[in-house]
Amino acid sequence: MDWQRLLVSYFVGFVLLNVLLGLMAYMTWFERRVLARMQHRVGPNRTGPFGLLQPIADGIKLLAKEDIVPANADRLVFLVAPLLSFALAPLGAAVIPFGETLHLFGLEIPLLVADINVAVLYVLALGSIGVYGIILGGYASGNRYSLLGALRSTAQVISYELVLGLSLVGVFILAGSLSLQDILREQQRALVIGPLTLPNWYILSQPLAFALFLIAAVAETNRAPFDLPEAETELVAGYFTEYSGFRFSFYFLAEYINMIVVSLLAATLFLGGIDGPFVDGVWWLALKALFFLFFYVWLRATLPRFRYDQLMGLAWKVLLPLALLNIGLTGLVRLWGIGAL
Amino acid sequence: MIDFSQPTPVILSEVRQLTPTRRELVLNMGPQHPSTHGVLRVRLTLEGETVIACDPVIGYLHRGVEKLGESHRYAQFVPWTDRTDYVAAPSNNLGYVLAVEKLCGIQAPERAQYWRMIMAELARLASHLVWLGTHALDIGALSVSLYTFRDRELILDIFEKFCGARLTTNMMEIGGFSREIPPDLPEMVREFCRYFPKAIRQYEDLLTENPIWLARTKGVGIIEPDVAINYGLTGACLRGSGVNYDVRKAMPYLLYDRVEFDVPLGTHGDVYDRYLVRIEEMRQSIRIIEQCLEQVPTDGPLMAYESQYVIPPHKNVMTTAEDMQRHFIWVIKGFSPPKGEVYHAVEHSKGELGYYIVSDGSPIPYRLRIRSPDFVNLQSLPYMAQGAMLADIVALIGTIDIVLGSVDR
Amino acid sequence: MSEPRPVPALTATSPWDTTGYWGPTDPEQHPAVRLVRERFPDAFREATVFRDEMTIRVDRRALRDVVEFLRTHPELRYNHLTDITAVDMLYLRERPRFDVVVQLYSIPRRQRLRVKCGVDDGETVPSLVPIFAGANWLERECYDMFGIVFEGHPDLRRILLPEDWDEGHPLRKDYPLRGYRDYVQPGFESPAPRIRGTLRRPGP
Repeated sequence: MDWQRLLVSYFVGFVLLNVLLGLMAYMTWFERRVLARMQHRVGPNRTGPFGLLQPIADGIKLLAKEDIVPANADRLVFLVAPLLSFALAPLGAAVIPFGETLHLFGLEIPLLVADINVAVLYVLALGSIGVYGIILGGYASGNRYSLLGALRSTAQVISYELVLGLSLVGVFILAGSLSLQDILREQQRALVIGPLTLPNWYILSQPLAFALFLIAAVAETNRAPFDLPEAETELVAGYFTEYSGFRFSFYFLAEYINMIVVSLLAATLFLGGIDGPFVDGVWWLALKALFFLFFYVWLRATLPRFRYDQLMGLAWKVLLPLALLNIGLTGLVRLWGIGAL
Repeated sequence: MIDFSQPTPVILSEVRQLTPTRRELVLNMGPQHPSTHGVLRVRLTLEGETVIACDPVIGYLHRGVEKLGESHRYAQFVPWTDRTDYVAAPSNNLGYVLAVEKLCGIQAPERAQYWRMIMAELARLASHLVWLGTHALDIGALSVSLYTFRDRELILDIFEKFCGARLTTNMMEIGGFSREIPPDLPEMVREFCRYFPKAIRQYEDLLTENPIWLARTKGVGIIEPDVAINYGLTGACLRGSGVNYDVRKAMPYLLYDRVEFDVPLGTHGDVYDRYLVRIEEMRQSIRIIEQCLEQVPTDGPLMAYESQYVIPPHKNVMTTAEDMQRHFIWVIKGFSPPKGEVYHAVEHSKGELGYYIVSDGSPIPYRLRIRSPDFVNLQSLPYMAQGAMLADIVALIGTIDIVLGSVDR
Repeated sequence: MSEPRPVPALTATSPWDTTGYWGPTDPEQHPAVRLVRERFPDAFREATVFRDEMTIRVDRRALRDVVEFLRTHPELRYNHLTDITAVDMLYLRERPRFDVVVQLYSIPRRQRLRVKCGVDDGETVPSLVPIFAGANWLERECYDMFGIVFEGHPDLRRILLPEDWDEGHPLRKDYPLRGYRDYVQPGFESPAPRIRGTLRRPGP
């Protein structure tokens, strides 16, 4: 029945949102701990065992802080912009399948909130809207650093959104669908090449697309070495220079949720999502996503930051032609119907 | 040979008009900014991200150290030198103490000179580590700063062992050292010399061939050799442009003529070359320290006690009436060097640090001028910033290696 | 670059004036003194030596020409401007009040030289910025600290003190070292006269 499915969908969405928010809080803990180990430090270890209560303490601190609005800020926009960023961030997770359909109490419970047939487009579109939060926040702060951060963010998102989208076209050609469930199903097939039996994960058939997606995703989430909009050594804090208290934390959380969503997406699109040896399930997805999250932190600990023109040059002169090349090659392979792809 | 017949154009700040055109944006970077290394303020006129004009504004940390020098006795001023360039305090002490010794016509014993060299080179390492950490952090390499500060702790431990203080050491005394060298200090320094080359390799692994680091530093902030000389640059800023001028080689003070070391020179004069020069300087400093440890006599006087300008030995103060009186006068009234003026320069980690002292024969310097290297080096920032982008400005401020305590004095 | 000059071994007892980084200690034999005296017979005042350091005193009006001559003359080539500073000679002599001190260094010859000129309050010194770009900030600092005006300086304004500092030049000897002043908000009232104090200097 329709209302039943709706209810189930709401329920799954509710659980997912809460899990995501919890994960996001612990992502900050994870990042700080991993970064600390990489830098010969200890990291937060005082609040609770292994510092596990640190995110909660941070959350309380941020909520208790004064919410400062600068005198020459565009007040309404300034107040709304972080909410926009924050509200849009977790929506992307709605289309990611977390497991096979469960059969419970005679109900069919699909372990995803919504199976949209243009799921990937939806995620990309959300990314594009999400940048409005940054642009509006940067503009409304009435601060030149914020403005510069917002401008950088605009240019960066426009450039890398393109690369991100084009890098996925190869996957679409192979899967023949934009729905994440279909793409997942395709990857659960076994890929038999002579004596070898491999999973049909698209990282194997689309390595170039995977690399492009990874680079573009880092840029899309404004993480190092592409963290120009918030480059703290140049623009103080970029677009959220003037924000404080929980509005600051909204931006902060949005960034981390974006990271998690992109990691989940990368795991689903290229690493077979819930597919894995032994028993398929959400743990494989979590493990793969964790690998990407670790990769994010690793990058941040290692690499210097790009300059604005180099960032643009990389997107338009290197990544975009490579993405187009990848599309062409995949198209030809598909046309000739080579192998089991 | 460089042609000196043509004067170098002075790149002046054009930012003083407060109403820029519609396409331009005046950005006030600092004095509170994460990467202006303290309280430097740079007024930038931007067109998009491109820097049209750049005007460094300094003086936010001006404490009137030169004026203070004119109202302190000679020995009292040594702690003030710590506070100018506080990341390499022993080098500052050294420059001042050598200038006063030159004024008085005294020299420290050989053993003290070796230990002064060791401490000055350690100070150079400490300063270069702070420079490398902050410079890399400015460009976005987060971890390097943690690594360099980890290793700087070892140097500060040595300082602490030697004199009890870590940052503002007040280490050098006029005439040498009045306290004995701690017996386990040489081994501590040796241990550090064994460890440190590995640490340098670690930094280089992270940066030297990193493509993003290369893209951010190569060809940025080029300063040609003749322009560098004309701007009066010293230190790595000058050597990065390929001009061979190191005070330690050109006019050796202490016993630098007895140790072997190379002066690394850059070729392009960009940020990357200055980075390489400083990295190599760190290796050479280790070489110098190792040679000093080999050559330094294990026994012998540390203080030129025979001079009337030097504080009498502590033991004699307690036992002989004559030295007790001298000590009393030395502390209460100070000592009066002959009338005259001296300029003495040392190779500080940032360049040539000169002390110009005019004495009128009283126990207080009549005029005490600190020629701080980064003050002079910093004025090349507008020249380097021509056509740079906003992100390059932080790289340029980093490459000049300023400490605002020394720039503003 | 020329060959490194052999440096005498420094012993613990060797006096300072044998190091020779400032050229011959006899003014008659010093090439800079000789050439400047030949070229600028009117402007040349004296050459003094203290510890090995050679100082040439010239007339203030000829300062730029002398420095330019020292920089470009093929035998001298003092191409590195190390420092420009000033000394307030208030307690040491009657007139002129200030000494402007220019430290020069020759990178190819590895030699230093100090050029001085006396300047009184209200007089100007020709700026060295047209010769040495690095003179810019050094002269600004001199102006800031002593109130010495450098003629021809393209951008002479305060550098270390705030641009609106209205209380004179602190490195002058008669600048009060202590005293209080009521804070008056700018534009409201003329400030109260400050309590003058002078530094008590112990005798030699």
